Amino acid sequence: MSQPVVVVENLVKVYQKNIRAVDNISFYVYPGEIFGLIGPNGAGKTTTLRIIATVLQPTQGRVLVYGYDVAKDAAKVRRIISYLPEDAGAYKYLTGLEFLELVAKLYTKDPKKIEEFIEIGIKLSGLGDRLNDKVKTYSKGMLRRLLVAKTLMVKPKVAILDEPTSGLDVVNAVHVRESIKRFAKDVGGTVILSSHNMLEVEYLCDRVAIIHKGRILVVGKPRELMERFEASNLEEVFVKLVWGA
Amino acid sequence: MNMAFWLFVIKELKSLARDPKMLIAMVVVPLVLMAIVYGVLGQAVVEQIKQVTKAGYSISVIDMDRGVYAQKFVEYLRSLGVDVNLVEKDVEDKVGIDIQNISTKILFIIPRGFSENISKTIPAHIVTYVKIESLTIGEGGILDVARTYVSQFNSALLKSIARERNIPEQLLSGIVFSDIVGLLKEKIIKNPSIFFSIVTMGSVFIPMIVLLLVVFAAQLVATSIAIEKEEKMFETLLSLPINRMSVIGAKLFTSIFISSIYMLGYSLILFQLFLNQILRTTVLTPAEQMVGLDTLTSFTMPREFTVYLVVNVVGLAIFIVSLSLLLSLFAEDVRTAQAIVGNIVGPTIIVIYLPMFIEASTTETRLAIALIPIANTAFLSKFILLEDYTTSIAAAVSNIVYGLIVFVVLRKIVNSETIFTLKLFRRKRAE
Repeated sequence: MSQPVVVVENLVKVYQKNIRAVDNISFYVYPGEIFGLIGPNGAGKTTTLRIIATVLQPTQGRVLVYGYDVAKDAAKVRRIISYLPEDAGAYKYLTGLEFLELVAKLYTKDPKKIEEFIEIGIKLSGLGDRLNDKVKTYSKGMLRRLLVAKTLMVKPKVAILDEPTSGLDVVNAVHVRESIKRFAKDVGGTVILSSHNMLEVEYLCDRVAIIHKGRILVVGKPRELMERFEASNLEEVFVKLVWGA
Repeated sequence: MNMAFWLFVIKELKSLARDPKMLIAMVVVPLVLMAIVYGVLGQAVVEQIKQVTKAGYSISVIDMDRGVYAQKFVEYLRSLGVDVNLVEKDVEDKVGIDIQNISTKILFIIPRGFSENISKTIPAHIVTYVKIESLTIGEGGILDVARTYVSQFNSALLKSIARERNIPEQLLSGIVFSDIVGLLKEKIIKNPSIFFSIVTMGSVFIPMIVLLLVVFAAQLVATSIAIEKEEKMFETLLSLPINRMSVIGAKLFTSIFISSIYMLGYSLILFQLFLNQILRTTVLTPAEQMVGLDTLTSFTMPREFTVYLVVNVVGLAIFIVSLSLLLSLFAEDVRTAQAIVGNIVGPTIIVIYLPMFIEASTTETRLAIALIPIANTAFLSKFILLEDYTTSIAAAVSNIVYGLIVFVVLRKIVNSETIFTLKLFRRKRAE
């Protein structure tokens, strides 16, 4: 197996008032992989993703992205990642296209690349002419598609997606999942995502980590985990692990 | 400046231009603010003028004419209940008058030939000196008091002459005129009306500009940061491959830029009103010579003061806008951010209007004021009129220092996770 591109080792995150959101977790993500973090609310998924995305800093342990430490080399990490928070939005008085253009220009100064990024963004979003409308007129599904597009269009080495399909209807959720699959296949980019949707994780992820109360309970391929825990789907694996934990 | 900075400046301008709530706030809020401020201050100024007018009940008179009409003038003043202090002055004394020994705010000098002129129905002049000390807006009321005494005497005299000569009073135009001269420290002010227009401008107009700059820029920057949170872009911004200070810098720049344009628009309207008022006054020439005093005929601001003024205002803008931005980081939405900033910056209205009521006659007082941000900008016009270099420099430097301190704190927070956790802990525990 090749070298991991994301290394999370003995990661601890303690907030003020001694809230231990992440408690000594370790996992590795390899190039081109779609890696899923799954767990109930308050498990520490979002905190872990925020640390990898350089929004938060670890209390203990280390997190490396392509060899760069997220705490010491945050600026270098930000150049190779693209992050979609769970509760993300967009500037509502810009049009969808203006928003994609703004994001593209923040990642590169090269006009050709800017054009390329915007083209990818237009395709990934699938919003067509609605991209000329202001973001404030978008439905939740349209907004999420726009945001997934802006995250993946810049061709990051590592895309970090927190609950990418949360709250979406079936049509929009399918569109987002397809976009993520296409990104991994066409660009060869690595994806780390979190999700509550076990079916989605089974369909999308090459490997998953089940996290509960700030600790990782198990890491493995969905198929292997189902076999190991004698479960018919990941949901059963998840339930057995969490109840047993 | 890097590209991210300008991208965010353009984005800010676009959002502002397209947001109807913002446009309403830009027009309505300052108008309401101005109405409240002028309503409250108008009443306060009226009270202050009343106080100053009481000082006009005691006056000094130097009678160099020694004629019958000079005598009548003094008697007339006493009949009004005015305490008249007659200052002895030798008619042949060519040396002049030591003004520092005059204790009252108003000094009337009745020149030689005054009575003779009136006897021949030739216009006669009384030279009026008004001592200017506190540089408060109400002090200008003393000019009206002095003018009123002379004009009332003029009316009474016209009636008496008309009666004596049996001619209709209407046929006689004014016979006694007042040439008013101001005295500020060692200087003679040839036209105190213009001078007090400038004092008024400095006390009302300049603070209003500062107020608009401070309140508007503060609200704008707080709204701009809160919008990032309300539109849920804040977390994304923190993970972008850009210098976070570019975003913050763009917001500071846009707020100050728009506020400055806005402030200039309002200022031009106000300035037009003041200019019209100043141009209506006439320039007078004093009839008697005073000893050891320079004549101050115009108010061109020394170049050094222009530098201090610019540094002062720039320092103030950085201080207030950075402080507002810092405070708005605690807010979750636009309404909370505006409330936080409004409650902190709002009371500065009181500080801004201190110059209207506080005397800045001693160096110690002025230096203390120079260390109070916002007030030191509002007081600048007085520092300039008094040609107080030390205080003007202290005011400019202190504002820059305050601005830099807040900016450094802001920078430290922005470049750490605190910028995110400030919000985080107010809302909910993170996963």
